[in-house]
Amino acid sequence: MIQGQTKRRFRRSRLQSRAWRIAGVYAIIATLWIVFSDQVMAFFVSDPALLVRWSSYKGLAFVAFTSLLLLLMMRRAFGAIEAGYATLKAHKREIERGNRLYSALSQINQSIVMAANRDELFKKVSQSLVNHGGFRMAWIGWHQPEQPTLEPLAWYGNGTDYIDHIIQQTEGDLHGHGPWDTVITDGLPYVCNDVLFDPLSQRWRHEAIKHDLQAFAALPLRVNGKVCGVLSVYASEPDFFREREINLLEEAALDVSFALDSFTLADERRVAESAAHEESLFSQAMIDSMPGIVYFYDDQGRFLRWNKNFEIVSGYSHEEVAGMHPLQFFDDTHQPLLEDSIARVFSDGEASVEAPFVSKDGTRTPHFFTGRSVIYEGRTCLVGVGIDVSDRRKAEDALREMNENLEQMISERTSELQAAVIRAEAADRIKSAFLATMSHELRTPLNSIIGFTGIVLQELAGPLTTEQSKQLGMVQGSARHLLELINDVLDLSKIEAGQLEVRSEIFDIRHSVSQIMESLKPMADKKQLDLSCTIEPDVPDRMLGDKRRTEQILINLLNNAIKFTDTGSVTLTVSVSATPGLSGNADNGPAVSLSVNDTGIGIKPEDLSSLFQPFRQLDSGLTRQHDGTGLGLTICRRLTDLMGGRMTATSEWSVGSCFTAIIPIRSPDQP
Amino acid sequence: MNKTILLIEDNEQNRYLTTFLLERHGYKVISAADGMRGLELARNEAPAIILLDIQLPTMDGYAVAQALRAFDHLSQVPIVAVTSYAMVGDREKTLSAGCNGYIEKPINPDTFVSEIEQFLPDAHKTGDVS
Repeated sequence: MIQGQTKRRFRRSRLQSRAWRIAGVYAIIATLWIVFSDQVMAFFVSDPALLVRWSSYKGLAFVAFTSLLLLLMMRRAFGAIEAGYATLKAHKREIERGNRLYSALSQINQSIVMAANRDELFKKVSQSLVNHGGFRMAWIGWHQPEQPTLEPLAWYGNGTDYIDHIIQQTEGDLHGHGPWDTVITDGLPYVCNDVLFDPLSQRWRHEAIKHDLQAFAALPLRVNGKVCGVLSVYASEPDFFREREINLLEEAALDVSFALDSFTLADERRVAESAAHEESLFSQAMIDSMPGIVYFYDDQGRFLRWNKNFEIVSGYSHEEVAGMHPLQFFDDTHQPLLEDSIARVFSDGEASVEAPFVSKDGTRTPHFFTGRSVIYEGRTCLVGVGIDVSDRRKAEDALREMNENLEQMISERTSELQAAVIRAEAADRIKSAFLATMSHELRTPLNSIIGFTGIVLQELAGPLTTEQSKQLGMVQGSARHLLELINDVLDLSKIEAGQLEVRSEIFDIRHSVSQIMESLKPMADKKQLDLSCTIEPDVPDRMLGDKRRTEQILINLLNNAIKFTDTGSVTLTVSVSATPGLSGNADNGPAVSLSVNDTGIGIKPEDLSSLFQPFRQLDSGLTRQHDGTGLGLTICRRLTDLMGGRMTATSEWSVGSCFTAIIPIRSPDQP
Repeated sequence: MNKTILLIEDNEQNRYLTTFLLERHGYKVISAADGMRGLELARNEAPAIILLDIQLPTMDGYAVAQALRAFDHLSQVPIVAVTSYAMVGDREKTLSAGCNGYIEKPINPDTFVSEIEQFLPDAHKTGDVS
């Protein structure tokens, strides 16, 4: 400050001292002229009269000389002043222009702060540049990266028709047109200080002149470093754009670009926020619509979130829940259990527990809780779900009750069954004992009857009359029938009691057959029946099996055939067959087939099925005619089954029947 | 030639029947109504064959057969069980008690003698029945 004043004083004193010096030199010269001019003149001119005249001339000459000098000096000084003023004026204008640009820039920056969106900003930028920056017109075109078009988004000032004209002419297709394409392609400002000489905007030159658009500048606007728009400003005078103007406009374009970046960021943030909001709404809706109760609390037991259902089920308001501890929703007896479960969630990551959830009014609802630990905002928290299991519990209780009832029923039934089994076993023992006793007791008197009748009939005790022999023969027949009955009943009861064992002994089937044929021949002869037998050659002589039972079956079948045949023949055929399997497959080893054919009364088809049932002598009318126990076929069937064979019957009513027993045999040489 | 048959049978009628039948075929029959008596007779009389009922008072036929087999000089004498026991295992039981044969009651008077003679050495057979 002091230095500045000193400088100014110094500058002023230099100009002053120059004036002083001029004035001093003049004073000295003038004084010297006054003092010495007369003496010099007196030296040359001695004539006083002439001297007076010459003195006047001298005075006039001095005035003329000094006047000329003064004129020269004044002209120079005034010229300098005039030149200085003009410079000052130009300077002032330049400053004003600069100020306007600065003002526009400041307005633009204000707009950047104030503007809510891109289009509003562009509008304000255009306005600021015209109103404050002194431009005739300004417009901003937007360029979509994928398209070659330039869409005017904002324009302001005089001559905006010019823009319409350009857009119309190019049909919005910028490619290869005008200075804007260059700006977008190069990313550099394009300046034209006189449209008359600009090759790029030549096409619209007349239009530009018409609208008094003498010079223009186009500057790139960027979003994230990529050119997305062009800011164009027009001046009404040529040579408007100097370095400073261009710098300021570039600065403005940079600021706008910065603002665009912010808008993009803001847009992205808004989109993200909106997505987050949507997500939050969705989560909340989902949590709220869940059937159970959902809750979220931190390691201190402070509730952070919960669903609406939590409040509905608990009966507590939102504010109440916020101030409660999770254990407060359980009764004293369950609290330790819950405490343990919560601790397990925080230590192991997850846990589940079943406990009644106690609501505000004291209602206990059985719930199944599942908790899982999650890290939320750096803290370990528990997110849990509780499902109402009352229905399940009820069902379980019902099921348990049912099970208990069932168990009781089963145990009752079991004991009933056990008692029945014991009774049945006892009955079976009694039956066996009865049969044994009966068999013995009946046989003893029968022994006498049959024995003595036989002896008497043998006439060992003396000769008999014909009538006596006939009558005793009847006694003998009846006694034998009675014995057959006893034997059959006994056999059947043995089979049914599982007491009958199948023997395995070597026997000669041919021998057995011939013996049986021999013994039955008298019976057949009596009825004048043709009793014959065929034994196939491949039937082995010796076979391994139950001789007694095989013979019993043969006797029974032949007996039956003879009994039920009045005329014709009874034929036995013995052949080798295969053991029939359960499914009818005939590959279960060798078997012998005993087949008895007769020409007897036959069996009606409807009676075939009941043929093998005990005490069934078909056609009750025949029972009188034919002796028999009705047990023969049943016993044969059971015996065949017992030996692993099979018994079948085919018959045609009043034509004849065929009974076949297939009995497995083994060669005695086989192991 | 020893034609003595020992009959151990408690039922009087059956004893009579068997004795009658066998004596008519030329055999000498000595009979006992119980096991003890039967054992005594067997030891003293040395029969050619013993016919043994199983259901006997005080000492059953199985025990009698076992006791008979204990006598050295009787070990080769055939014992035939003549019994009305017809339950499962009866036949096996008699055979394992020491009997050689098993004839079920009621006996068939037409074939009884020849059935018994199967157990006698050939020399004992009468050859002629009637």
